[in-house]
Amino acid sequence: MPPLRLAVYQSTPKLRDPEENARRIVAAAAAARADLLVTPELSLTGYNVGDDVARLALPADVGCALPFPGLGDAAPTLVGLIERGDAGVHYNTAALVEAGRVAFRHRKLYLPTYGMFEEGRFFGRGGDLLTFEPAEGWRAGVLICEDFWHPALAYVLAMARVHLIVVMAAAAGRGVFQGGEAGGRFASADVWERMARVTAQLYGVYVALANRAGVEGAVTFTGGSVVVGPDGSVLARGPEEGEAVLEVTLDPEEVRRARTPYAHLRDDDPRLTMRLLARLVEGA
Amino acid sequence: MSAAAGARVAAVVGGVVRQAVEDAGAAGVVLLDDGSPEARLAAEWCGAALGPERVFSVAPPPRDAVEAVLAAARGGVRGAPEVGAAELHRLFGRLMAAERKALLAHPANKTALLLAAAVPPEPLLPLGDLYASEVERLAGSWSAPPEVAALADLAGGIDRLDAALIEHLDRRRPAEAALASLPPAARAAVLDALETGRFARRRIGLVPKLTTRTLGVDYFA
Repeated sequence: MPPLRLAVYQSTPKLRDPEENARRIVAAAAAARADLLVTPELSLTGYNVGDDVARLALPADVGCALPFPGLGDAAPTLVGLIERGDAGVHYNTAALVEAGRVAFRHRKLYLPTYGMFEEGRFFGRGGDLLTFEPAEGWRAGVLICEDFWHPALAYVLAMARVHLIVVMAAAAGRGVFQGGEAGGRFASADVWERMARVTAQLYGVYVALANRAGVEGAVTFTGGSVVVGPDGSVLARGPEEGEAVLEVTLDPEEVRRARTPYAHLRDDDPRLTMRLLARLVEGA
Repeated sequence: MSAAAGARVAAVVGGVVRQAVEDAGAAGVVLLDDGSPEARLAAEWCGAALGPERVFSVAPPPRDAVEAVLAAARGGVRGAPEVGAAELHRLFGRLMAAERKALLAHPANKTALLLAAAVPPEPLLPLGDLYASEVERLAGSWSAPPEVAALADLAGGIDRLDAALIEHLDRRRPAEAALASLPPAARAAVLDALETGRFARRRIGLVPKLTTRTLGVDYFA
């Protein structure tokens, strides 16, 4: 099982301009020389597209060709797009693109519709959580932003024996006076990094958090993308403003090492979890 | 407040202003400059984000000009009230913004936006998510309409007033509990002020988001 060269492109997507955003992603992939390039949530369209959801939606079934020259040529690339679904329902989707075609797809499962978020008005909810192989022997799963706040999903991926959890996010900045040791960091950025580190350490997996930067309307996205090793240490961190590409070589030996002598993952009992949940959910 | 925090806030506000100007296809920002510390801070941050040549400050018109205009409008009735001066200032700002194809901005702070009797109608409120006490830490002093300044006095100072507001808004404690630290008269007056302007605050200009509950973004009370 060879090392995996991972690149995280912390982008600042131009709202409602997928062609321009795709050009930037293609350029980042060409410069990175990676086995897998990861981008943030809705990296092709920008986040708050509002009523333009239908106009910007694309078919993204596995095997579909996407209309962006060069996308996925230099490296398999995880992009965020609006997927045109059946019956007028569209999805907030992560698509793995290889040589212009969709090779894997994850539809966002949890759509935040509270406070400043309105995703439930525009998107349908995904219904599955699958894994893919970014390189020989490697298994990875994708979560999109709010998905990561539901730890059962990371648990399911861990039970599926992933080595890498990719989190594609468009995390808005909140609490500018509360974050960072010296101040000057959004508190929400601290929370995201803490979640990535805890998840990595709990399950002995790499976590790659690709969070976007830039501004849409009143909202500033916090950047601060990170790649976290399976021992919970931060291997690379993006700036809080502006674009950046993080390049990290993931070593399968580090995954093995993080799971030894600890045996939490080995000893975890999904049947016990199912029984306990069934009792709660169904009174069984 | 650390220097790093101050610099970050300036950068975030500047980034939102820059994007707003770009989205609107505007030439820059016209700022209603009432001589307050908020106006100085907003001018500084907008200038850093856009370049000073794209920030146009409009000072209040001279008193005699206000009186002359109001007298003419009222058919010779003398004695211009303060509200007349503020409205004339606003009108001059609108004219300048239209002439220069710029966005009109008001420097009000969050405390004033939450508690004042009137909400500024300008489309851009760059300091609208900074409490008055935070402006004081950044700029050395603060300002607000007279009724808000009176509330601060009643509360025992702007720090106490803002601390109670933060407890209610950002930490989401029920108003009665969050404001319990204030003297009873201040508590009642603050509750009344929050209630009085709640509909006006639902339609508000662009406020760069800094906190957990920002007017116009995710403050729905």
